[in-house]
Amino acid sequence: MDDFTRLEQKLAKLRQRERAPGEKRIIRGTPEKLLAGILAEVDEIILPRRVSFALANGPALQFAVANRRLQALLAPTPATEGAAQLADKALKDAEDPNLAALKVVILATLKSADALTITSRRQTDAGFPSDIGVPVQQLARAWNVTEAVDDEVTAEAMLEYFIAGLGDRVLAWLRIDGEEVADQGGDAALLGTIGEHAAVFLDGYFAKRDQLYQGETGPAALVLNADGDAPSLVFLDCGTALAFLAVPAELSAGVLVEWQARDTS
Amino acid sequence: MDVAEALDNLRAEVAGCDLAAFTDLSSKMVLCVSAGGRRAQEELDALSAIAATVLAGSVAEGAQSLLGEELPGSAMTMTNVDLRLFLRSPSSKNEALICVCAPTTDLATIMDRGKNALDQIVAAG
Repeated sequence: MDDFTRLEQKLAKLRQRERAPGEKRIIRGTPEKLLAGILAEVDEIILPRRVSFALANGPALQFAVANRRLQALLAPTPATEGAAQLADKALKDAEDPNLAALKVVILATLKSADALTITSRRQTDAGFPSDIGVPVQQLARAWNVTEAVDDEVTAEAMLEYFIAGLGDRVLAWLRIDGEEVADQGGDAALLGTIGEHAAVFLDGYFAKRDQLYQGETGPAALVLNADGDAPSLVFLDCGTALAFLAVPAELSAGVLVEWQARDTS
Repeated sequence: MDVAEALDNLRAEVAGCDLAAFTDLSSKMVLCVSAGGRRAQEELDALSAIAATVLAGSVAEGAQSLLGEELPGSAMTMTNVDLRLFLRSPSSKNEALICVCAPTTDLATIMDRGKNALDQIVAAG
């Protein structure tokens, strides 16, 4: 990928995200995907930053990053074995002996994680020289992380991660890729209802889609709440990927909040 | 408190709320609006048509079997551009509140204040 292509992709992402620098984001996936996500994040950072990748239950991996290089794991570290020994030690280059140990620490920390909240801020101390650290491409090779080179998340994968992250807050769900049901889960009776009536809903929805979003072509969400006790319908539309979620009515706004905060990269 | 005052208060209370409107779903006409600047009639007509679609029209009817055979009492749409809330009046099924907000608007707040505004409008008769 040449620099112009990278810049165009970056600009496209910035337009899409419309987020302020330092605003928190969430990425989801398996530990290996999250490791790739960490590298993808590092790959976007030029100015010196202290970047935090926090797990849902509290501990966070914090790194010094600059010039698209991972410079060091910073203290305070998670309680993961071996983490404290690596804290604040600069990674000199791709041959640095601590590089392999750092991958082990990161994956051990992420062992039971399925999401990371990313925040970044300026480094408050002097930081490391800008030529210190391991460039992402070299890091990806050393750690055998192929996804870091291409950080594009497909609409299908984004929906898959999003639904997986909701856990048992979703009573039933059905995910459609293209024109096929890709996956489903949850309460069998609710799934049966969704399966039986999804086509009717889609008929009405697509007849009015342009009207609903008035030409906006990015990912969209529609939440419909009944007045009674029935579960709410959360319908997620990412173009080629769609999802029906049956959610307890009292949780539907919370699900939409998570949709607001999702990672769109 | 009249309708206009309730809508003005709603916008003042919720950061990121750009427009609040009270609409008639059957005629698809906005009855009262509070907005930062003057809005084109076409924009208000379009918003009212969307409210009718999601609360009473084809989208609502298509979802009815998925909502325990009820029509939606409230609906939200979210894109990268905005967040829209549609709340049907509890007393008059043909009237609804519309809010158009920034996508980062606090959802719990807009839901809560929107319901309050609708209650005030209904109470004012």
